[in-house]
Amino acid sequence: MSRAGIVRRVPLAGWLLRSRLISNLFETAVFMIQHRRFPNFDRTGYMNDLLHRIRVTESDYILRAFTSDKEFAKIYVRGLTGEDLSVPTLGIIRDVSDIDGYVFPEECVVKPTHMANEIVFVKDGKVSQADRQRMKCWMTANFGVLTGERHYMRLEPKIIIEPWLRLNGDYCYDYKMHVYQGRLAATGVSTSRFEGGARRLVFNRDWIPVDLKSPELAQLDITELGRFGQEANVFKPALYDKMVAVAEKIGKDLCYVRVDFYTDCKDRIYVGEISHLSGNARVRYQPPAFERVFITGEIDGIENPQFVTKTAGQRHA
Amino acid sequence: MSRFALVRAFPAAGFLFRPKPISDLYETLAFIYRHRRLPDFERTGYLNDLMHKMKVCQSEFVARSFTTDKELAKIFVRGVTGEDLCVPTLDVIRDVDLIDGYRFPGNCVVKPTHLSGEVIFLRGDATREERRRMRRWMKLNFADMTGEANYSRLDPKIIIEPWLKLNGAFSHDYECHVDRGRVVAIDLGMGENGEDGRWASFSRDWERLPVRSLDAEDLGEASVGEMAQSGMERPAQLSRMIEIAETIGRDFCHVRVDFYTDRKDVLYVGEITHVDNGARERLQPIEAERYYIRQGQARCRGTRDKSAGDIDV
Repeated sequence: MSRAGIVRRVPLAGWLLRSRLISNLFETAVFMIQHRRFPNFDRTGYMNDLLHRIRVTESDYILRAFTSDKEFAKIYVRGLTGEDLSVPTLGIIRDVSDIDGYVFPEECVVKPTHMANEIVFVKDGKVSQADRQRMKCWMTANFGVLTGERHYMRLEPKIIIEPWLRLNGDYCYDYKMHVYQGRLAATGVSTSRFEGGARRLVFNRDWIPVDLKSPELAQLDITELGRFGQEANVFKPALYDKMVAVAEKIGKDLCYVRVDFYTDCKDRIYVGEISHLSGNARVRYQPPAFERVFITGEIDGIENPQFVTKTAGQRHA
Repeated sequence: MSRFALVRAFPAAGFLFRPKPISDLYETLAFIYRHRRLPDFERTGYLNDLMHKMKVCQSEFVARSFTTDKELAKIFVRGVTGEDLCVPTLDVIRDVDLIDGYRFPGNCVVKPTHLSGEVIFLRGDATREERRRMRRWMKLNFADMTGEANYSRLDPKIIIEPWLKLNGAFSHDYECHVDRGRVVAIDLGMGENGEDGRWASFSRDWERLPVRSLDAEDLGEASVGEMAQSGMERPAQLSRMIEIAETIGRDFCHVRVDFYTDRKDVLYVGEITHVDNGARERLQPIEAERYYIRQGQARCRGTRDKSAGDIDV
């Protein structure tokens, strides 16, 4: 059973896991079970080891906390870039008692600002009682306690309503840009995320596909690229360079961050969200050495241990 | 010796006050000693009671912490207003080891981003004593010194800004108190850096409020002509100042937004303050503390940032 499952069933466990020491011990044990190794980023240079380090040492850093809130992240992106690059906000529900009577727009996306991986798509303005009940549950959940991601711990529960963007068919592709030490290393492109499981391709900074597999993610095989038009470039957004510049600007004050974009691959880009612990440090890659691509952005010689770039000198590393 | 002085002298002693019950108990006793009353905002509707409540209940609210940091506050202001309204940043020193060799520009102001009330005005390069003081800033945790938890998670950094001389050799501080989204009062600080100097309070329509601070030199009663002479006349950008302060303040129950202006066309946002004067400033008459609170307004929306509850006065 996952940590979230335990806390949901036994709320008292949530209080126990609030303690930093207990939480870190628990998360280290889970990491070792999941990845079959002790987390040590300085030795391995693997992304999950870095994420584990961020989780246990500095995930309540105020910049990470502020940008984890989906409402505040938009303020941050606008403040940093000077442009309105985020998905517009249609409304914010701040009080649980407003949920029952709230009239949702015809087509929209509803998400908690203080949690990850929770979303309700609204079609024709219809929201079922079950969905409203789910939203009420969001308002009582503390995602930091559920997952050990402390930057969520002090966030105010709110629900944000955004327009349903249909940039790539019914659902948008997620362009997940992994920025390490202020430099884009790799971009994961998730397709079909809400249509029966995510399928993902990973490209390095030069938009060369990386052939890595994950048991947690349905991989879009590189050989399947033909289905989409013979070349990996079919996924490459026309505004890729601008996306890189924005992601690197957002990542300049952080050792590692993942900046998610939506784009129609032509002239529209939106910053979706800012993530600090990608996949909650649980996503396994095969071979594990390929995790380094999210750090270095290089492919050649990736399995050579000397390839590892160690973090040094930065406060939030 | 006060908590502030003790932790300032011995930063390691801050650990003694870090447990929240100890910190809150100390701050409540200090409040009672200072103001000769128990803090009870719901009953009194006084500013200091609200400040105390915020200090012990919710000064850890993430947006408060973020906007407390002087570097990050500029990103917030630009994010909510869409304009570059803050004093430009010349540089930020993030590493204590860089202080000794740093070449400061002439005519600049040096401040720690993670502390309050500390500033060095530099005409030329910094002296050895000033550098020593800066190195000391990097060791201090303002939350340990004051109980203001919004400072507790801030990185120690030093920000360098140009020395604005908008009102003579220094700039006056126009401190807009925004309560539940509306500017209710504006304090004018006229000393060096607006602190420890002369002080007057105005309504949002720039009428003098009959309130006096026991902790600053009062500017006294003055006619409109005398006010103009002494630099207290209505700033030309007052309405814009109020509009900006209310935009910044819409995410908070109560916040103080400070401005600098030449009273004509130059306007800068200075800083954002959440616990005004650490809930220590004594005003006379005491009922005047209510000028800083919107009376009879409904409870703040939201679940955590709701310290300004209903007022029963």
